[in-house]
Amino acid sequence: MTNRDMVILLSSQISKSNLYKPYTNTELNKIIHKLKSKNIELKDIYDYSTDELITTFFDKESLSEKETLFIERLSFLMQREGSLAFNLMEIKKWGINIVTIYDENYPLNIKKHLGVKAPFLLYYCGNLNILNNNLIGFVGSRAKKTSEDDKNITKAWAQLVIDNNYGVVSGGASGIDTYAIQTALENNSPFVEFLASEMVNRIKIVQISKAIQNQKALLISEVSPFASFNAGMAMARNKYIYMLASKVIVIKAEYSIKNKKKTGGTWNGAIENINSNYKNLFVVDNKKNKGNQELIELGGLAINQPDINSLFTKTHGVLNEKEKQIDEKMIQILKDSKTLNKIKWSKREIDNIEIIKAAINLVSYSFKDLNIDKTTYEKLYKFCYNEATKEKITQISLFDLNDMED
Amino acid sequence: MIIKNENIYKEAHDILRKGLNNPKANFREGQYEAIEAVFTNRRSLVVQKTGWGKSFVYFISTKINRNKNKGVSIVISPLLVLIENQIEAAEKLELKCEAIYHGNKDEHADIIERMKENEIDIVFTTPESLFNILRPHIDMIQIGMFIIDEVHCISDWGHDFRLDYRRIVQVLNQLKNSNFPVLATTATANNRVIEDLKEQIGPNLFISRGSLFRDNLYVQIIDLKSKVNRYGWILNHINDFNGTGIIYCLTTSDCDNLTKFLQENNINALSYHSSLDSEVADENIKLFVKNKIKVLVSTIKLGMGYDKPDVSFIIHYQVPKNIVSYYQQIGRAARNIKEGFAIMLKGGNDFDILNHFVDSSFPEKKEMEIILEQFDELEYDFNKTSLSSQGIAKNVNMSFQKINRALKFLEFDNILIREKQSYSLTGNKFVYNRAHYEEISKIKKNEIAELEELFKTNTCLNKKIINSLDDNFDYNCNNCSNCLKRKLFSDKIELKYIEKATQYLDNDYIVIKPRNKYKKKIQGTGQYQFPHRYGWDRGNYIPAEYFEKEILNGFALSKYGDDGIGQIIKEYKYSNKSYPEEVYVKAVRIINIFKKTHGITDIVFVPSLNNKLMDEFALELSKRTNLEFNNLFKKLKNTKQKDMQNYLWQIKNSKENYELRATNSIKNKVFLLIDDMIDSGYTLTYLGIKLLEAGAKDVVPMALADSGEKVIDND
Repeated sequence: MTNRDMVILLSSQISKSNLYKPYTNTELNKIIHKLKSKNIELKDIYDYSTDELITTFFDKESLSEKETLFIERLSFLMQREGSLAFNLMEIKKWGINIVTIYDENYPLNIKKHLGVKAPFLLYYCGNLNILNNNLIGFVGSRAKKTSEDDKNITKAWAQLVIDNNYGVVSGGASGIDTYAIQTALENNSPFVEFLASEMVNRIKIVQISKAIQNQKALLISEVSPFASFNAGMAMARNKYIYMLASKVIVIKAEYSIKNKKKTGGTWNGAIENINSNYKNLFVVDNKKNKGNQELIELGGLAINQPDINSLFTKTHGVLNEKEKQIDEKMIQILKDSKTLNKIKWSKREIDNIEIIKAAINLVSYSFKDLNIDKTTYEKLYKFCYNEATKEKITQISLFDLNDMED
Repeated sequence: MIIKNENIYKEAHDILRKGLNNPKANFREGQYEAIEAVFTNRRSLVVQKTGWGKSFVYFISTKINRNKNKGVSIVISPLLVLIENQIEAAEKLELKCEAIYHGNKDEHADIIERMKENEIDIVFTTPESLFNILRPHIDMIQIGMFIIDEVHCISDWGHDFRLDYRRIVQVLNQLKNSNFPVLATTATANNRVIEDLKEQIGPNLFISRGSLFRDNLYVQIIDLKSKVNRYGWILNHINDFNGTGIIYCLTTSDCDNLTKFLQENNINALSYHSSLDSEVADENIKLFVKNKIKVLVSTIKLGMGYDKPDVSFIIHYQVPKNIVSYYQQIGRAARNIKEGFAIMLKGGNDFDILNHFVDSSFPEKKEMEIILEQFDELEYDFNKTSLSSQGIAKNVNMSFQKINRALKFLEFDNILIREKQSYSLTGNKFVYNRAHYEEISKIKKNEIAELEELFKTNTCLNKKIINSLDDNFDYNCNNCSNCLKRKLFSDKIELKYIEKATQYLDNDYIVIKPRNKYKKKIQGTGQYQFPHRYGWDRGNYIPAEYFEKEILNGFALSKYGDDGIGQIIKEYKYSNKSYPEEVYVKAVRIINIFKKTHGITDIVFVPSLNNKLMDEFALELSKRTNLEFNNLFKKLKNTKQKDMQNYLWQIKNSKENYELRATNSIKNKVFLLIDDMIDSGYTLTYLGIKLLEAGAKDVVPMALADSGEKVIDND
């Protein structure tokens, strides 16, 4: 039994049991940190008896109702191995696999951006290596709200991106998403779809299954491959497009007003991106479309006729290259310091917000990825946490420090 | 006995003694080690002969696992016949035991409910029931252990490819690296199969392997070439055997024919095979278990795991599929009585059938590719994503047997996925496993060759059999006809039994049933329509009166190529010579029977463009049977029906090939409609319908030989 197997056992949603729900990311995080505090790994509890589970989690014998329920749920999930095997077999039939945070091939961009909030497991079908390509994201309205013009613009931009050897990443919805992917299919060019539902129905499409078989496609999702459409999941999916892409093109963003707030799938995703500074955001300068115009006002980079250069001459926020330099500088500082005490983690040495962000960025890698020792890493971690709190950097998530030191 | 874990030993031993209510009871050789390995290695494989006591290993392992608060044990077994005995045995160990299989449908809901409440300790089920009945509920059931009986079935080397077993392998594969307990048992796993099982179940597999030798089986081989002789021998000698027994045949029709023969000669016989309705099959087995009949005539369907304790003889009317099946089948004898006899009647051309069966068990690469190419037409349609086998057959002139075989293997390898009756592509890429198939074919043919060798050997038969299963048993059994150097039963047949067999086989015919896929009822109108999407009579609505009745059941005089008439037809088919007298004699005899029962008035034949043989034959028959001769059909072109591989193409071809010349002399007559060969039956059905449409009262189809492929029952 490995930690990976345990993650699947405790949190995969491919079973249909209505007795006890599999753990959410937050719940599983709490469990792992609780175990960590006792120097126990997740995989170690596989063979625990109920009594051992109780003492591990609660250090006592008589439990409150809530605590009893916790143990019951945990035991149930650990006992579902036999029945889960049927469901794992079922997804294998489609060619679907699971990648967990414990696996080497877990998408690095997601780990980097979400840190401990990265999903413990993702379902995927196809070639994970496509994520190593430079990908351009395409977002926009569903088919009902797109015109022939929108379709042509999408296809023109997608063609341009493909001709310049970039991959396409999109959300697998009808409309803009699908037009972008169709262009990739027509060109036999690699693409990624981060799906919010129904992966199996997407695989069935003959062109897509063939692209998967030929290593040209990756479908990936954080929800069960059998999950049906759910507006919440569709919204939650948007951020992944921004994380996986180096640049994102908004073809058409629309919003409606609900409770005095502007809302819409593409719109919310773009706003979330602007607030989180995930990626350079390009917006087709469609004068007729209010949503596009407002995104440009909010900082989206306007693009007009399809021209690959426009994706490189215009930038906002920190340059990628500069980000990289800061990352390297940070690692250098860490490596050069002979003892921990020599590092003075103060505003004097690390004196601007970008560097703090870079540091935080670094800790979303594991210390193994960074090739530094564990204690140094923890020190860095603590510093980042404090600085992030001071600077009110909330969009990049970190462990609750108290949790960590439990 | 090797004990690695004292705690497990103490617990297991206590359960055993308490269960048997015997304070001195001990484990048989290998039993304890197998139980312990379920918990230490987590993977335990038991290769032991029937009667060794596998159930004890199931039950005690389950008991220990349940004491650790683990979920229900699921026992997957291909045949659940004497399940009551198992339940009784489990109850002695205070285990709540149930079964879920097609035989207890009424109880399923209740049992499944109790499984969800974790109230049941061990459940027996078949692979079919596991995936069809239990599967939808399995997420709500806590499973503690998988027990796979007859586990050689999950190996490609141990059994013919079956989807349900493949799914079991795929489920086990998911648990390969986990500590979930799996117990597997079989009596027949050679080294190759065991090697494969290690691969499938997990590397840490503990193997308990014992001798396969059964010292109470008396084996004899009798050489009887002709069908008549084998029928005669069985009738002559069946009452020489005490008690009840099983006669094994390869095909379902051989079972039925032999059963009918025995019944007509006052032997209490019933048949058992996969073409019977499951209620009939269950009833027949029940009567056999209760010793209400002398003999059960069965195909391989009754084999593994069938544990009637007092079967005293096994007769093989035909050779079994291979040496492994032979061991399994004779192993049904003398489970719990002093001695059992196994008599093999070898003869005929059975080995050809067996080898052909192996050759045709895998699809050709080209066939699979053609099926996959059919999906290309869906390529630019994001909305239509699946095809049915009908949809494929419409476009591809390939038999349904081949289409379904290719689909089955594509589904096996997860290249296609089936939802309801339609197939879709998956993310898995097609690779033709030629080397794998060839290796299996080689091994299967070798298993047939070993059977042939068995027939020639002068050495101990029992030794030869179990040596073929990689058991190095090196003694002589002193029970078989070779060891004893004498016949256990006489191979002589008295004349009167030969006569009875001859008489029966002369009057024997094959029933032709009308095909019914040529029409589609239009809901609410009372009218029928030919299935126009296949290009046949588009929009041509036919009044119900023509279709409310079918053509009647008819007959074929023989099976093409079989002893007697079947052989004659084969010789004459392409010779352009008139048929010999024997064919007329048999035809007249059987026509006269049908004439009496069906009121036949007229003869009409299916013409050929090549020669006038059928014209002559029909004319001569009409004279000999006093039926009016008619020449009603015109052959339009010569595209051969036998080149049409499935019924959608056959229907179309029948329609394009023939035309009714005249319709005036048809009304109210009852026709005998004669063709030389029947294969799919669509020509006879179509022409029969044309006669009915023109006002005929009834149509009885007849053929000289049934050229449909012999189907070995493969359950």
